[in-house]
Amino acid sequence: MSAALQLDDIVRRFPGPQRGLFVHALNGVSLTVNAGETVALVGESGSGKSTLGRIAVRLDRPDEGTVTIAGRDTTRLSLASLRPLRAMMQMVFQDPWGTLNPRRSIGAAIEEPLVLHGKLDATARRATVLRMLERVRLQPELLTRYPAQLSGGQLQRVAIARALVTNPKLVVLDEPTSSLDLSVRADILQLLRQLQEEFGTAFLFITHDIGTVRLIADRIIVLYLGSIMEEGPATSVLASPRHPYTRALLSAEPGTFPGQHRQRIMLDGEIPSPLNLPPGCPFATRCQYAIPACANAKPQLVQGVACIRSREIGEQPAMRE
Amino acid sequence: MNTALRRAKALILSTPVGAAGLAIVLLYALVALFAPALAPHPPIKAFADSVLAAPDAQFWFGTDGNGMDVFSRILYGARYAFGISIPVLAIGMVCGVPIGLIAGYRGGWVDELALRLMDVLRVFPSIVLALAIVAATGQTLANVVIVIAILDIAVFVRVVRAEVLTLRASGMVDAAINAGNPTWRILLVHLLPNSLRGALAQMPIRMAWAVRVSATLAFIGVGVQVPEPEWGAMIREGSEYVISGEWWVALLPGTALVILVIALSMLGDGLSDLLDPRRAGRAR
Repeated sequence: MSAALQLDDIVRRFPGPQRGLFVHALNGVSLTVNAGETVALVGESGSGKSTLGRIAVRLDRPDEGTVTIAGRDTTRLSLASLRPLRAMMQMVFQDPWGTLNPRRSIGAAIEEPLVLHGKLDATARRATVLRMLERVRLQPELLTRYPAQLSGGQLQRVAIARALVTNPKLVVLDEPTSSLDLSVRADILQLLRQLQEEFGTAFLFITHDIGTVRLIADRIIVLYLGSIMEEGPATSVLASPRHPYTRALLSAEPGTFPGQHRQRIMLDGEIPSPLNLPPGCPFATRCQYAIPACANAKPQLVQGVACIRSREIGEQPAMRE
Repeated sequence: MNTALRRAKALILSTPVGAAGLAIVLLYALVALFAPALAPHPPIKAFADSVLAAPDAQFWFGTDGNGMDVFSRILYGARYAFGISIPVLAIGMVCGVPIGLIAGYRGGWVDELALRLMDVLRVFPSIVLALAIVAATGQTLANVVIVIAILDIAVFVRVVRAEVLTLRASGMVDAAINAGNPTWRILLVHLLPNSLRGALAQMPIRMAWAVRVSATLAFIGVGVQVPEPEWGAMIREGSEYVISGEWWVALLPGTALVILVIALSMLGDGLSDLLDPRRAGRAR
């Protein structure tokens, strides 16, 4: 069975502030999301994770590389020919309030993908929408309400129902809980887990919140300035990060109990401008382990980590003190 | 009926200025509709024996230099005000809204082209441009309407485009594409209904502007001519008598014009208040 999503060597650059200058958002990113799996894509703002998510569901196009969804190459398809394929690749956006049409009822919003991918008649659609509403634990009477009458958590449930209603192979979730209260957040994450078990959908979960990753991810991919720094099973990456950047990222997570503090790794040094990336390791300018060799060539992803010193650094587990 | 009354009361309370403007505009509209029934005399009947008669019991607002009843002519003039401004608004919106919608949605060179074209319309002083075009194309009422409407298109393009850009930024377009919408459906079902707020708020203001510009053109002598009962033309005709003391010929149609323009502006203010999302909050 083919993977739900396969990205090969994705490069994306946006026109910069002047002619001839480009913002290098993604620099040769390859990844696979298998059926029914949750991959967390983590990184700080500007790392290119949202762009990658948008390319995966072809809301944006890559400049180089290929996008394959469930065995179908979608890289060169036009907006119109992508349309029928949208049923199998869906996205849940960060801000449900801005993405739902305020003049259309909740029922109409969830039903819309079914109408557009037109395989069901009106009765069957209505039944599906009601079933979906129940799955995301919303009352059926919300069907006739409008987005303005719902809370943020309810709206995000609506967005999730809308994304899953066509039973897609892949759902990209772009920080779906970052606009929600902490209590609602846990609820939504739990709901997503349940839905995934039920539908067997693959999730590409974009987030910068390590706590969320702990709750939901099977695998983790760490992105920095448009390149993958580290990749691996969630448990092992969280327990023993091998890339210096991953270590710094994990150390920034707040402790579970008040007063409990981890040894925070503070990053010094400038982030290279995405307009003019260094030829070597993009993280070298901020890395406490950097040696001159780091600036020479961009490290390749070897056994899940893109760092020429990962082996030596791995022998210093004293990082957390 | 009870609910209608309660709604009216709520409207007056929430925007008293807008409600007052609406009341005056409606009054003018009724006058325009029922001018033949309300006018004591035919608007272009010349009473040869009472030229420039001062206001009295027979001629409430006096008569003009041709001996026509000023009051009746003012009532009929409302027909010109609405007869010009409503088609102007219709043409301006029918052309401006789709251009704004497509420019905002497509972006890129389409947007750039639309903006430059609208800039061309905006850099000319509107009266001068209208004057030149009407003078060149012929002084018919239809030409006056078309010229003013073309100048209006730019306004509607701008307000609709701005709202489409906001919707784009909020992710509504992406979400609509993601759901599988074809382009026409994104434009008509998702963007159009949510990008008309600014255009609606502009309607009375643009109407006031159309009334003002058409009267100005008539005053300069372009477009509608005496003896047609048009306020601008009436003011032009009456202006020569102001010095000699027959103030009613110019001043009274002028007052009628000013009150309508102010009322329309008040209505526009009230409408923008009502349509302001920050004021309305998230409740419907």
